[in-house]
Amino acid sequence: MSPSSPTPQELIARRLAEYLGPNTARIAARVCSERATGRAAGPLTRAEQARLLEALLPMLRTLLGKARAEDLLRQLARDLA
Amino acid sequence: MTTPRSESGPRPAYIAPGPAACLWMALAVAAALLIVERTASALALPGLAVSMAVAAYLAGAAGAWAGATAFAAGDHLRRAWILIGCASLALALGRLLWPGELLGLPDTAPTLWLRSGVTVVSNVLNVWGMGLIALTWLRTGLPPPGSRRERIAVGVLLAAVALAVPGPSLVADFRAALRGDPYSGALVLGGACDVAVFLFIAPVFLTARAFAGGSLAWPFGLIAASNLSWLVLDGVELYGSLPGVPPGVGKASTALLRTLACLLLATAGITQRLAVRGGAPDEAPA
Repeated sequence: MSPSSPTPQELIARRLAEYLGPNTARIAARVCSERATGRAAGPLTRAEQARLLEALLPMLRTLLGKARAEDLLRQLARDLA
Repeated sequence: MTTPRSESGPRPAYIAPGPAACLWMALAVAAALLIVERTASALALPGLAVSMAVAAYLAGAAGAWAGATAFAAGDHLRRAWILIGCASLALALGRLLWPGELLGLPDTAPTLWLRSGVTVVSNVLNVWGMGLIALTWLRTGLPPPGSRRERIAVGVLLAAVALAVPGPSLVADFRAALRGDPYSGALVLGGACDVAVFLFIAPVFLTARAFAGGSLAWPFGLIAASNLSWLVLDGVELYGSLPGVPPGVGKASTALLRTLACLLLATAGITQRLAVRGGAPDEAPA
């Protein structure tokens, strides 16, 4: 990852902003990252990224339903790959 | 305009109206329905006026159905939308239980009781559904929306209005119920449900505000606006007959606000579906 590359949290926030708005998307990405990995920002290993995506699922399932949430998580996994 | 694509390949493109377009259409329909309702009232055509009210309730139920179908069985918001849709449907049913109303005939005791029962069922379903909507943010596990000061200000203001508007009639009905009037008991339950729904406006509004700039702001914002319309309607019913208020103003405002509340709910359901099923482009975010 180059120094100018967006962090996983930033990538996730950008994708979620379409639904949650930019501010809440940023908060959601930070909060879930902190819960899943202990770090609110910064680069993450593959395993940490997987845990972060898992931590997003309950919130997304509540707001978008199970099917759309899982679809979105697959998109996020591709974004992070 | 959205052009969603599936995981496996491109789906046929379709053009969906944006949430703002849906809202403008709803407002235009509300204005048209009001004109028809007022004309019917002026021409002494009670059947047409009742039909307009039923149409508004059915529109609300249809919109809620659209919102529910955006989700699958077991999803939190699907349950909420189904309950709200059933509440709206029950209101339409309640108006149709006494066909004589279409001819302007006064209600009879048995149908009055039946309608009261249907209204109570509708109120309970609506409180249940709106409660689930209001609890959505809590279920996400995110920190509370807005600043603490903002939450307190919005909560106190809306709670004060929510209690002040239906409060006096609720107290009067409660006293009548204590004196043994069973019909007032139903009114007390209905009034209590109104207060509960009005109290939910604050959390739903704060949720919508937190989603500002995102597609989910529309359904939550429009639900809050719909409930606010019902709140203003209650206020007009309470204060519209005060001395100095021109006759007919209260009735016209009531018709407009009821139609508006139902169509805002319908639009909320449609924008909920657009937000969930509208589809996000598959390419990486900018």
